[in-house]
Amino acid sequence: MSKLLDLLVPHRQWLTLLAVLIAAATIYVWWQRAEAGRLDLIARADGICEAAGTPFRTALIKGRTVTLRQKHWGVACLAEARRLNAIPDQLNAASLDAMLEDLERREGREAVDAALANRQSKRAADAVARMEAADAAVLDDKTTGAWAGAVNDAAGLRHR
Amino acid sequence: MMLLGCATADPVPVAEPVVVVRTVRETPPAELTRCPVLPAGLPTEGQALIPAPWRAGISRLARSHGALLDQLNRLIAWQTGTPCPPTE
Repeated sequence: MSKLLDLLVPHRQWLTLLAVLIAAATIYVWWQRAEAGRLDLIARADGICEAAGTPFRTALIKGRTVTLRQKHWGVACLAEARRLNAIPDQLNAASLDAMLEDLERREGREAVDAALANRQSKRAADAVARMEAADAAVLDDKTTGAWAGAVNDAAGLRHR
Repeated sequence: MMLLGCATADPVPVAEPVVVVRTVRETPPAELTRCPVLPAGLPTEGQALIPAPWRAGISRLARSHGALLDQLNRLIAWQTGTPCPPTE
């Protein structure tokens, strides 16, 4: 043990330098790996945001493409991704609303039409009954204004 | 990689959600939903000698005209929401 120390002590400065160099090299390799991982993640984020239609690191401001500060990276892209994700639900809800509104409109129209048809059929039945009565009142094929008026009523025409 | 001189602190405006569902209203040409102009009918003054088969024919024509008019009015009311004014 003392022999080994005797051998090392004279070279202490060199050994310290060696240890420092090894530590520096290790830290450098770690840093390189971290940097490579960071660049890889940024590239992926760029790709994902490009696919969503909003760039990750840049923004179009007043017609110019501007590179954003890092704290703003992905803000617009995230909002866009959320918006895109919400669209199917919104479409479903809006489709349902539109369908229900259409149904209501249709049901309302059917009710109005039924009421109108009812009024018309009563009026038509009255007109036909009056015309038959007027026709029965005709003597010797001599028709009068009453008969002509009944005909006009049945046809829905104006009287002259 | 990134030039700080070009960087901006402005947050990016976020697009409002847009719903693309729209109901299509089919409206026929206005001409098709216009209320018909009715002519005057038979004169209601004076007399005429009309044999029974002719009277029956006139009656059929009148009833047919009335029915067609009613149907057209219903169609117009269905489309426009307002029925045609009744004949006087």
